[in-house]
Amino acid sequence: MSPWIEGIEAVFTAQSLLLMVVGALVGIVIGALPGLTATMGVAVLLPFTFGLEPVPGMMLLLGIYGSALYSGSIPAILIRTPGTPSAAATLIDGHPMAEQGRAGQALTISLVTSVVGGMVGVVLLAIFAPVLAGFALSFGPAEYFMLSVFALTIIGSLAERAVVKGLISGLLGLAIATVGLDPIQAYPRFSFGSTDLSAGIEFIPVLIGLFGVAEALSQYERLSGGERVRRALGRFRLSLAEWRRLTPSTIGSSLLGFFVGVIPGTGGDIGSFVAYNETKRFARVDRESFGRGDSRGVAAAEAANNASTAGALAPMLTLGIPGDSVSAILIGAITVHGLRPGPQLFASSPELVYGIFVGFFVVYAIVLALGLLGTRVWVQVMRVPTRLLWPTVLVLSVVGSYALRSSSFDVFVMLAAGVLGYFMIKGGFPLAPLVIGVILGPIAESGFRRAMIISEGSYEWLLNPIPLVLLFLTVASLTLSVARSRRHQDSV
Amino acid sequence: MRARFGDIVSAVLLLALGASMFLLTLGFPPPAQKLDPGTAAFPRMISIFLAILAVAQLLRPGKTEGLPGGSSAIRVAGVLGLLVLYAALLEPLGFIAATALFVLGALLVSGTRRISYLVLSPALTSVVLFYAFYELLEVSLPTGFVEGLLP
Repeated sequence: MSPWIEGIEAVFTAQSLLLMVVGALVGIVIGALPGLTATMGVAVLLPFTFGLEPVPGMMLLLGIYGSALYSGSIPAILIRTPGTPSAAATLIDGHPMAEQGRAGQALTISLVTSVVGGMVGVVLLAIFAPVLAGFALSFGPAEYFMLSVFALTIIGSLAERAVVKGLISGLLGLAIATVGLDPIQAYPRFSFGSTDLSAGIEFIPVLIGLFGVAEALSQYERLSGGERVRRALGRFRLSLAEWRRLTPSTIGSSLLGFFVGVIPGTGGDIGSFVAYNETKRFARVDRESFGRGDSRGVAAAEAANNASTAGALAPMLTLGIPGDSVSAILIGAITVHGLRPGPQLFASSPELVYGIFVGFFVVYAIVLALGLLGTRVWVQVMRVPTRLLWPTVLVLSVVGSYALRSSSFDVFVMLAAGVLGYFMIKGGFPLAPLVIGVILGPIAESGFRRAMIISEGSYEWLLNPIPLVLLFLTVASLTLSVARSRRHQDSV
Repeated sequence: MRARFGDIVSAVLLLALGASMFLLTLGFPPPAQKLDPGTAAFPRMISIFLAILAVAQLLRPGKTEGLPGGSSAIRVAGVLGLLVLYAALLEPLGFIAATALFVLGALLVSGTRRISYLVLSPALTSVVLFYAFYELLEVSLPTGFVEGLLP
């Protein structure tokens, strides 16, 4: 049977469709509330998928994610606070539009371009991922080792103005991954005689701690009582001429966003800023109106934001290498069921891989329907005082880490990760490299040691074409980012 | 000044972590296969890079956000304390009782004083999540006295 048919059959079941709608509704609330981010939503709601089959579980998470990315633009436009970090570029033109009484139109543009960007991204993902997976099948240990090193350095070095901290965060993740049995000799490292530690530190409690508890703790510093929007929203409809004006920036940004997203470490936040800047640079008319409520700015940011998240799924699905925090969480959702993301998944679980392609597309159709039906209602979500929700976020974090192996040890691991994450946020260390380091640790270590064994103790595997290119890219990205951060420090 | 101090403290801690990691690897067994770099090799590489980056941070400390003070610090510490207590009481008390107590505490710490919230939120959160996970999704949760009373 064609893998596409298997994917379609897995997605078009009552359970999967229902979970997508539920996920999309929950995601809209999460995205619309400043403080609750799309990443946090997916992380703390991950335990809901433990008891589900892989495809329906993934549909729930994709529903949450896709709709939270869209609704993150609602507070960005209305109150100048992005509901989720990737909506930061949306407010540059979205909020001025609201100030000019065009909030309704900005919300419609953000809805439609989010959906277009997401759908374009998913189509590109479905075209490129199987090709990439076919290519990745030939990868050996040396390739996986260098890929992990490349992914970690680029993720670490993309951390804005904090290259050293980004890299430290990644190394901490690798260090956490070394606890427990080593992948070749099965020697219990750093276990201090504890059976729990020799079994190793599961990465799901770590990521729940970092994205759930650490964020919640820092939100407890400044609790808000909900936002009441008194602004008139204005009309929601746009004329055909207005849509035509937005088409080039929407399509261009969707394509650009996808390819930026494929690069490890670049999620929607970077994708949307890159696309926004390029749209502005290539604008032939009224370039000076960007930043003052130009609807093309909103379209570019939102289309790219959603397209790049589909792009970030490409390295996750084809190589098992997470491109950003959310794809790291999705890896968690896949591994919980005993499956391993990577090129083999295309042959062993086609219903899941192609189900993700089909399902993510359907999710965007659902988001469009929900958005058209009720943007006025979703705006009211912002009135919910978030301080009432934080205890539930924390409870879900505890449930998620406990339910994985019915172990209180995992709950304490989650809490430790939460405290570490809180101090990291305060100290300006990005969290994503740590989680990605925990996932990449075993891949990198066994890749390195197997490569050494195969090449009989010499480093000549580094001279093979793919590892060599990756080594070159690693050194180049490090040099560039160090130079950039030095220039920045000197100019301060 | 205080902000830079944070970077120095974290760099020193990271340096200590790198050093102790390296020292611990000295006690690891030699490789089982002749050409395998061994169980200690990878952790050693990590510890060395960690130490190098910690020194880099020490040499050029930057500005950090700094820790909160006053009532914010009390709120954060309070919630953290409640979380540790919650994790410790989860198995002895069972999910519903432990969760209800935690939610009540966390709401009080966040300054919620409306009786309706303080009664309804803990009860609903604990019971609804218990049913959703335990009954609907068949995810295991610790049970205690209260769960035994439920239908």
